[in-house]
This record gives sequence, C-alpha cells and structure tokens, in this order.
Amino acid sequence: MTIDIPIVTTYKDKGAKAAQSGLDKLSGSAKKLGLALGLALSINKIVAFGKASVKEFTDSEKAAASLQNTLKNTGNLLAFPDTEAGIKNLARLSGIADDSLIPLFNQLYLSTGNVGQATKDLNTAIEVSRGSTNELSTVVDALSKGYAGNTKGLGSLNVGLNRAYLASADMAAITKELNNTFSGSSAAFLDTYAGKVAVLNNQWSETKEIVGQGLVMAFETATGNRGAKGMTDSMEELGYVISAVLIRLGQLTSMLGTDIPLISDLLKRTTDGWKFLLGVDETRREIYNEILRTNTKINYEAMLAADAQAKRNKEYLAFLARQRKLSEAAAAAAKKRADEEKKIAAERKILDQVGGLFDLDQIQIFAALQGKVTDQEKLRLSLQLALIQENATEAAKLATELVKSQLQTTNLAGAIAKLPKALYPFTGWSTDIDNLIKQILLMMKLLQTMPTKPLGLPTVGTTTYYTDLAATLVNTTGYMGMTESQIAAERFKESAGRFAGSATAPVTVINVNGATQALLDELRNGLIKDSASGSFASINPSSGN
Amino acid sequence: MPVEVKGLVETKAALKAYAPDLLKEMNKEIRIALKVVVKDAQSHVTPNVIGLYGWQDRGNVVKSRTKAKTPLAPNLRAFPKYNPLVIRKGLTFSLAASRRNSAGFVGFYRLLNKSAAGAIIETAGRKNFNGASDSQSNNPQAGAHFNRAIQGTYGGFKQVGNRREDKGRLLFAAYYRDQGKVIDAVFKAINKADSKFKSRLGLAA
Repeated sequence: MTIDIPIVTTYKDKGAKAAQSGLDKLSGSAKKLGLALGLALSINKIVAFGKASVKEFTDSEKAAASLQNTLKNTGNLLAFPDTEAGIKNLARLSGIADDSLIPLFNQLYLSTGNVGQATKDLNTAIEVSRGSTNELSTVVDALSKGYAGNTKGLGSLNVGLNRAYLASADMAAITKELNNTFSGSSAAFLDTYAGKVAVLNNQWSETKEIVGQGLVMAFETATGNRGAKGMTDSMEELGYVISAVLIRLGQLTSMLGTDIPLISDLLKRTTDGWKFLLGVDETRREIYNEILRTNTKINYEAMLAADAQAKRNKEYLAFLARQRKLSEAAAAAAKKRADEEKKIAAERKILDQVGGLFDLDQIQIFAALQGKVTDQEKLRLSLQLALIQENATEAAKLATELVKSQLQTTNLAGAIAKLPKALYPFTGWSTDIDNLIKQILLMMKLLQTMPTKPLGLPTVGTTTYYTDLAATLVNTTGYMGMTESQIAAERFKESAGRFAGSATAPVTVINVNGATQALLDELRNGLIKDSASGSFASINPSSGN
Repeated sequence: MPVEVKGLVETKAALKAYAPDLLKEMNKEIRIALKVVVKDAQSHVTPNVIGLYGWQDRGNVVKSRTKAKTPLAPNLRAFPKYNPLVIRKGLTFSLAASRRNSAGFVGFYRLLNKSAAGAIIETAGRKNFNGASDSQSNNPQAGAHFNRAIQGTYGGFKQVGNRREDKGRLLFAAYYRDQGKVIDAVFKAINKADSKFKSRLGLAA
C-alpha cells in the first residue's frame, strides 16, 4: 500500500457522467421502461417523472455547457452548434444519451485537438464498444491515451491489436484498422432487441429532456416578474396542468410501437386532438424558438470570444515579432562589435610590426645578428627577437633549440672542467740545457787535449774492437810474426772499418720527466673516470664543440 | 488537508502547450519544495526499531507465514522486513496526477511513502493501537506490542487532517512539521508561472 499525501487536489467530473449514464441504462431496460410508463399513472410517479425530466434537461444542459466551455477554451467556440447537433444525431443513431457522449467527445477532442477527428473517433469507439465487450468509456480512454503515445490501453482492449503493431503503427493506421474490424457493429447491435430498447431508452431520455425544458420554461413563465413568490402562488395550479400533460404523454408513449392499425389510427387522432387542445405545436415552436435564441446567443458570444482571442493572438504575435526583432538587433550589434574588435586587432598587429622597425631592442638584435656570432648566440638573439615581436610559435621553437644547444655545451664544458691540469712540458729544460752546455764544453776541452793519430787507423775509442781483436790474434795462425797494431790494421782494412764505431754520432736523450706521457695518461684517466661516473664527455667531432 | 484548486488542469495544459519553459520552471520550484518534506521524513528513519529485533531485515529470504502458494496466487508476499534503506528509498514525491478517487478528486503534487515497511511504520496501530478486540490470534497482544515498539522509536501519530486516515508517523509527521510551508511554496510557484504566462500573452496578471 502506498501512502499518498496529495498537496493540491482538483475536482474532475470526467467519468461521473459515464457512471450516471450506466445507471440510467440499467434502469432503462424495456421492462423498466414499461413499468415506468405504467407507474407514471400514479401521481407520485408523475411528480417523479417531472423531476426526472427536469434532471434530464439540466444534465443535458450541463453537458452542453461543458462542451461549449471546452470549445471556447480551445478557441473553437464557433464549432459548438454544429458539434452539438452532430453529437445529438450520433446519440439518436447509436441509442446512447448525448449527455454521456459529450464528455467522451470532450476527452477525444482534447487528445486530437480537432473536432472532425474527435467525432470520427467517437463513432469508431461506439463501433468498437458495440463489437466487443468493452465499455464505451474504456474504448474512448484507450483511444485518447493512444493519441498521447500510450497504447497500453488499446492493447488491453483485446480487439486484435498486438503489441508489435501498436508500437509500430500511428493512430491514423490504428483507427483505420479498428474501423475495418468493427465497422457496422453498431448497426448490427441496433437490429437486436437490446439495440432497439437502447434507442427507445435514449429517445425517452430525449423526450424527458424536451419535457424538462418545457417545465423550466413553464416555471419561468409562471414566475414572470414576480419572482419566486409568483411561482409559489401558481404552483398548485401549475402542478395539475403539468400532471395532465405528463399523464397524457405517458399514455401516448406507452402505446408507441404497436402494429394494430386501429390503435395506431386512434392514437394519431388522439395525439392530434391533444395537440390541438394543449397547443403542442405552439409549445414545440416555443421550444424551438428558445433553442434558436440560445444558439443565437451562443453564436454571438462565440463571435465575441473569437474576436477577443484573435486580438490576443495578434498581440502575442506582435510581442513575438518585437522579441524577435530585439533579438536580431542584439545579434547584429554583437556581430558588428566583434567585427570592429577584430579589425582593430588586425590594425594593431600591423602597427606593431611596423613599429618594430624602430624598436631599439630589435635594431640592436638585428645588428648583433649581422656580426660574427656563434650558433648558440644566434639562437639566443633570434629568441629575444621572437619574444619582442610576441611570436609565440617561433619563440617556443627557438627556445627548444637553445635549450638543446645549451645542454650540449654545458656537458662539454663540464667534461673539460673535470680534466686534470696539464703539466708544463718544458719544466727543467733550463737545467738540462745548462748541463748539456757543460758537457759540450768538457768535450771540447777533452778534444783539445787529444793526441793526433795517423790516418787510416781507427781512432782511440773508436777502434777498441780491432785492438782487442788483434790482441787475441797475436801469434795465431795467419798472424804469425805480426804485431798487435799490424793485426788491428789488417782487420780494419779487411772489414772496411765496419766495426770501428766512429761513424755513429752521439745522441743526447733529453729527460722531460715523462711530462707528455703523463699528460696523455691523465687525460685518458679523466675520460675513464667521467665514463664511470655516468657523465659522458661527448665531443662532436664534426662541429668541434 | 489537501487544498482544492480550480483551473489547475487548464493552467497546466495551457503552460504545456504555449509556454513549456514556464511549466518546467514551475515544476522545478515545486520539486524543491516537496523535496524538503521528503528529506525531513527520510532523516527520521531509524536504523532499527527498538524491541522488534526479529523484524530487522538481515538479507534472508522470507516466506509467507500465513498463506501457502497456490496456482492462482503463486507470488504471495511475506510480511515485509524492516530495512531503513528500503524505507528511505520509498519516501518520495510525484508531480503526476493521481487517479480520480471515488469523490471525483484528483491529486497533484503528491508526497509518497511507497515501501511496504514504510507504510507499516506510518500506519501501524492507526485503527486499533492496542490490538483488535476481536482478535482470534494465539497471541492477541502481539499487535499491541508491535505498535508500542514502533511508537517508542518513531513517536506518536501526527494528525494533518480531520479524518482518521490523515495521520501517520513518518511522512505525515514530516508534513506536520513543515507547517504548510510546502503548500505555500507550491502555490507561489503556480501563481508565479500563471502571472508570467499572462504577462507574456499581454494579459493582466
């Protein structure tokens, strides 16, 4: 169970009329009709009949007022007289009371928004209701919901419309399908006894309506200008008159439908007589006149309402036009403003570009670029120029290149900075030169003291080999009788002085304390250390950087 | 308790047809007003009912104790367990029109307590607080015990109308505490939309 607390409620009489109509139908069977006519002869029932007649009239008037109001609210009041006449005709043909058809018509009209379509759909609903076991109100409800996109009700009617068809078809196709299936159902029903009774019942209701209207008019006439007091004074007399009318009417109606010619003729004569006596024609004329007056009044009101609605529509359209005009003007102004701003921005850009020619900063940079600058400096100057000119794309590109260049340079500088200091390769050379000069001087001094030797003999020091050899060869085979000097000369001659050693010049080895080798070793060790520490000293051999 | 208005259906229909933006705006304001009451009611849902520990929902499947399944009634529901999450979820509102009641009235802008356990909390003991006098139960005091336990946790009924049905412990109590502010807000939203619509049409507001 859901607990429901409505915050706001409204009264809705839709369906109440249908229920009332259903009760009337129940009590309107042939048996009850005959019983009602029979009992109408009693005074109490005459009074009850009078009340019922007035009620029928007021109900019908209420239904008509509801229809009129609906059409008026939707700006279609001019269609009211034709619509009401159409519904009354449909009621006569179908045997369904017009005051029960009008709410159903209203429902369909609100769903379709079209008087003609609503009338057709009401007719279709009657056919479907007569051809199936569904109540007319249920069918109308399903149709009106169908127009709102809810076809569940149509599916639950069990009239051969499956869910897939309802999901795919539109309402025009659905109503056409229903017409194809149920066309003629109402006519077939009216051929049956129950159908005829329904028509009679409905016609009886219509009769009661007419009587009720006559009663109301009679009361109004009786009251005249005297108000309720005048009516009270003549109430008793009027009651008898009404009773007489009703009694005769009941008697006449009870004999309707008989096939006996004598009775029919008698009935006709009696009816004509009563008509003459009671002035029925005059009454009918008055009723028609009253209806005509009412319709004229309604038409006049409808015309006024239509004029007022047209005026409101015109004002609303004018309002919409004003709004549209204002919106368009605002949009045009905004566009114009945007164009002007765009134009100003473009002009400013041109001015900035031209003004840049006289910008000292730019001039200096251009001048700097003309000179000999390194690649990195060129990049830096170009970046400065791009920043001054507010060229973001170029600035970003140059900044990236500069960072790359800086990184390369920074790494090389770092590697070089980590090299050990190179030793001075000529350290100690002055001492060595002094020592050399001393040796030369000593040698010169010794040379000056050396004795002069004969030509062809090896010089002392340079012929030690031959002297030593000659000493070992004295008195040996082949050198018998020769002296050491002779043997040495002989050997010198034979060997062409090859082993004399005098041809080789003395070589002075200068000790530079291993400085060059140490420099190379240190450089190598430094590079190895850098590599081991993960900081590579990369040297670009092509650029020299 | 509810306030009857005339012409609301027509106003809504006109707004829907000619000024859907105003209808949307109106519904938005009404939703905000209704949500205040619903949130208040939700905040008063307790984790359990003291003294009714067996009623607490522990996630077990519960079978109906009073009736057996039959081919004609294969989906018999058991007595619902107390689950605060379910109760809170069931406390909500609706802007849709209700079905016409027997008196011919249709409700708009409704506060709803949809869950079964929530409805029990709301209404248990509203008719016979001390148990039915003609109870045929083996434990005729069970009903009174149940009602008193709920009363102890949630407090008494709050009456918001003249009828016996117009009182409750949860949603009715929240509506009672609201003291009509929600109705004011709803009417303010309706009048505002109506005035705007009329002024837009060039009619007097």
